[in-house]
Amino acid sequence: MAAKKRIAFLIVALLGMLCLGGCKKQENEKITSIEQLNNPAYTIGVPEGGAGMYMAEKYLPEAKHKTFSGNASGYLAISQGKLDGFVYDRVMMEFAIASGLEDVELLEENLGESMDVAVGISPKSQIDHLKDKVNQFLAEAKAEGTLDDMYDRWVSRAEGTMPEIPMPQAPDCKLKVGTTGMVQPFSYYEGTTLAGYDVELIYRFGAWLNAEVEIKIYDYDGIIAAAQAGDIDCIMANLNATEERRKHIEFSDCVYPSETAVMVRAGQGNGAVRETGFWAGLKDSFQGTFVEEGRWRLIVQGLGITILISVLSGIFGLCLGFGICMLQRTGYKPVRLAAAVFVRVVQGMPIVVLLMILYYGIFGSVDISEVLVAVIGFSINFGAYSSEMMRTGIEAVDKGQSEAALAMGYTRGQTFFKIIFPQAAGHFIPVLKGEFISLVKMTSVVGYIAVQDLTKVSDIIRSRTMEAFFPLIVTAIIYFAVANAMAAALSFAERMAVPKRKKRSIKGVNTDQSVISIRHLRKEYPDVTPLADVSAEVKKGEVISVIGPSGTGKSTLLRCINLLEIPTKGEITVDGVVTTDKKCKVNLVRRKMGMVFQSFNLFAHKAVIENIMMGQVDLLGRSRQEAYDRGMELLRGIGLAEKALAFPDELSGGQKQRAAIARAVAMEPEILLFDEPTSALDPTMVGEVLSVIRSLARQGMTMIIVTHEMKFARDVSTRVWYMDQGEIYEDGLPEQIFHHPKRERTRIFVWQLKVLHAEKISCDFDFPAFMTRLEEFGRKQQLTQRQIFAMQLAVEEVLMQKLLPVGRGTEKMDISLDVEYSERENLAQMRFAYGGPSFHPFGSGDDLSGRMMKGMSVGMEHRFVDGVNHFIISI
Amino acid sequence: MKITKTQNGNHLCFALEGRLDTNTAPELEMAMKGAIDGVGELTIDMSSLDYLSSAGLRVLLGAQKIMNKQGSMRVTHVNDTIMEIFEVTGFSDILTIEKA
Repeated sequence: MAAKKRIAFLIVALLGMLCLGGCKKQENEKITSIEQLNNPAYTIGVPEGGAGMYMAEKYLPEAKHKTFSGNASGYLAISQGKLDGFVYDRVMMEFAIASGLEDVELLEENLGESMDVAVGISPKSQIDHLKDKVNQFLAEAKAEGTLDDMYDRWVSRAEGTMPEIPMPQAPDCKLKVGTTGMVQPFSYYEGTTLAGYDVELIYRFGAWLNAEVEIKIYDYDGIIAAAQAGDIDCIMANLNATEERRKHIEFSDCVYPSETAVMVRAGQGNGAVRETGFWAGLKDSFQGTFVEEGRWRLIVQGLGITILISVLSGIFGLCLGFGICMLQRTGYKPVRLAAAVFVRVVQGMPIVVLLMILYYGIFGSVDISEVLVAVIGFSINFGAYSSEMMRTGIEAVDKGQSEAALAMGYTRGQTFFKIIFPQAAGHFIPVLKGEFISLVKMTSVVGYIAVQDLTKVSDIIRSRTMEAFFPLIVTAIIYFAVANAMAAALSFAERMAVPKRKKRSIKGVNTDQSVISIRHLRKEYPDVTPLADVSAEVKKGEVISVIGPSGTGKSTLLRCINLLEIPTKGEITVDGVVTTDKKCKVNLVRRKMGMVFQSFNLFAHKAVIENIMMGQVDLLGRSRQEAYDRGMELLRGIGLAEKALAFPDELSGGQKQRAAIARAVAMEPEILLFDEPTSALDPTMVGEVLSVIRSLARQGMTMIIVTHEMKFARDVSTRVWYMDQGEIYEDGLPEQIFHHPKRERTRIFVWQLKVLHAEKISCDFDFPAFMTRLEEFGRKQQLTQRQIFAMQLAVEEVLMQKLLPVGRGTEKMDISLDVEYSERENLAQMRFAYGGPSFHPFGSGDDLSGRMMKGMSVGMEHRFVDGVNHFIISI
Repeated sequence: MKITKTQNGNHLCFALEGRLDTNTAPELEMAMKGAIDGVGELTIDMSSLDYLSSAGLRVLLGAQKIMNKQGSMRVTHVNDTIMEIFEVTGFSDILTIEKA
């Protein structure tokens, strides 16, 4: 939301600037003649290096000169009153005015003499005698009247359409020609295609030469250098053959003469000032910049180039930066020094200069894509900066970190990549982000080396629409959007890279995924349903004890998990594999689960060690030696090494079960299932087996143990399932299940409760008969006479003295009573439950009944939950 | 509950057998009503009493109040269980009790 507001504010601010840009500066004195301008009070704009500059220096030496690299910025400056005059090619300025340039006019007289426009010839061209060939072509074209016809069509009549010029099918050579693409009617973009007098000339010459033509776009200030460097064979860009330029490159014969004129601000009533509203103007500008001639396509192309250069330079720059950073960390001093010097040199050099050196110098004579040169240039630049950041980040990591890693036995390389660099990344990524964004913006200078990026296309569009400001604003907005989007992407990457901000999980490790997941499992036999509906999850490292009365499906559950029983319904997933799926390879899944049976089931015909070796050799593909070594290791761990060669029937029950556990563990299962492992044992041997299971639990083995050993279950498990009536009735921590069970039947089971139940107790309740039942219950549980007495007293005092007299007049109180006796705790609890308002039978005062029960019980407790009174007397 | 009444001149004895509870306490109360008028010495023999609840205690308390005005009352042959009742209720301070 905040970001949206910020963007909206920025756009409004930019539009405001647009509006201001349109505002006119105070007008100077009206200029009517060239002579008037030859005065230090006046500032005139001159194009870089062209005829205008030459003429202005020659004929207007007194005026202040301001140099412009493109005509468009000159027009903008004059229409805004920043210049008093702009000296340039007459034809082009006439076209600009015809295209809609406002508030300006041309002085009638020419500045100085006319000057030749000619073809610039690269001294390094691969084409032999190129100058002669150009001159010959020009001479022929002149003789045939082609040049006159072209001039007439493009310039005089301004009917610019490109004629069909057949391209050579089997070219003899390649002709690379530089042009500007920014001056109508000579070389400009119509939509996304080049057109104009020069462009036609280029194709005509290419056809004449039987050459494959490649056109490259340069600014006027870069085009001569490109020819000098041999990047292009010649220049056809309405180029005046000035003396200055002739020092650098050769020129052909004259193509046509050009005249230099002076543009001034239109006087009052002189210029056709068109008054339009702000929104209408904006709409026109939008139309001109985007819609006309499908110019948006040009913008999209430029944007694509900008993004391509930015992203590639970012990636390569990072790699390069990392490399330099590594070099700076080597022990070899000259290398370190060289890397440092490289960084200093690059950091000290303007990026434009670096690009020019690469393009015109280093890659000058190589046929290489400008975009690639740009990527190389920006990569070098970004690499230099990022290497410094990485170095600072690495130095910020505490030395102790690497000492700790080395001490653990990591090599220097491992230490760096696994310990130091990831931490350094946390330090340098945020800074790098800012640097990358500035890289995106810096790419706007690539127009210098003939790359048409976003900035360059906006210049091209400006040169056509004569729209001073709008394309610039659009460009600014696009850069803003791109930079923001990239910043957002990098922030995301940053979040990914900083360990603390990441989702807390451990790669490649099953931390919270279930090893076993059971969904609505049901197992029915014709006469009985041991499992009604079981759903559960087992996570890695959990030790789950399954307890509960006999016949409640505990063993069936284990046997279904390992598919010894086929479930009737439901789904079981083991380690991500749905085992209940018919296509599942049951044998493979079973290997992940070890099973220990009540009756041991050691293979009777094999010695103990062979029992342990067999599965390893046959199913895991271990060598016999490996299997033997692992088997002996396990046997030693459980104190059975001496019995390795004994046969199962020579072992005691406890020994057999320990050996069976070793056999299961040897298969390296993901999980071990124990089906009442101590039930068949003599009580004296239970301990030795449990201690083996305990030690497996300590080692983190995932286990499900069906057991009747409550103390063991309480001590060793991480979780307990209490199963009753074919379902997991209560699932909780051992503390909960054994000390604070939440549900009725769990409590009865774990506390080994004996229960006497009475419900719908009312005035006609057979009190004497219940007293007799209570006495019988007490005698059966071998309670003392005093305990029986106290229990009877509790029933009488609560029911007869308190609840029934109170409830007599009211609606049904729905009284029920559970008498529970826990043998283990030797504790009887009388649990009364009744409706009505909250009422503590002995809460009102110190009456006789209350005193009596206080004296005869070990505790009384009243709770009122969900409209039901629970009153418990413990005896 | 079985109540056996033995009168020996000024001395009246109620021997209680079984349970003195909410149901049976009114029986004892009825038996005492009128019978203890003019009695100087009242004995409640609890040698065969198995059970005593607050309802029974109230009957005993009523008798004690009457006997305070006209003579004395003793509760005899009280077993441990019933003695505990007397103790926790503070009746051991009010009644004259002889343990079994």
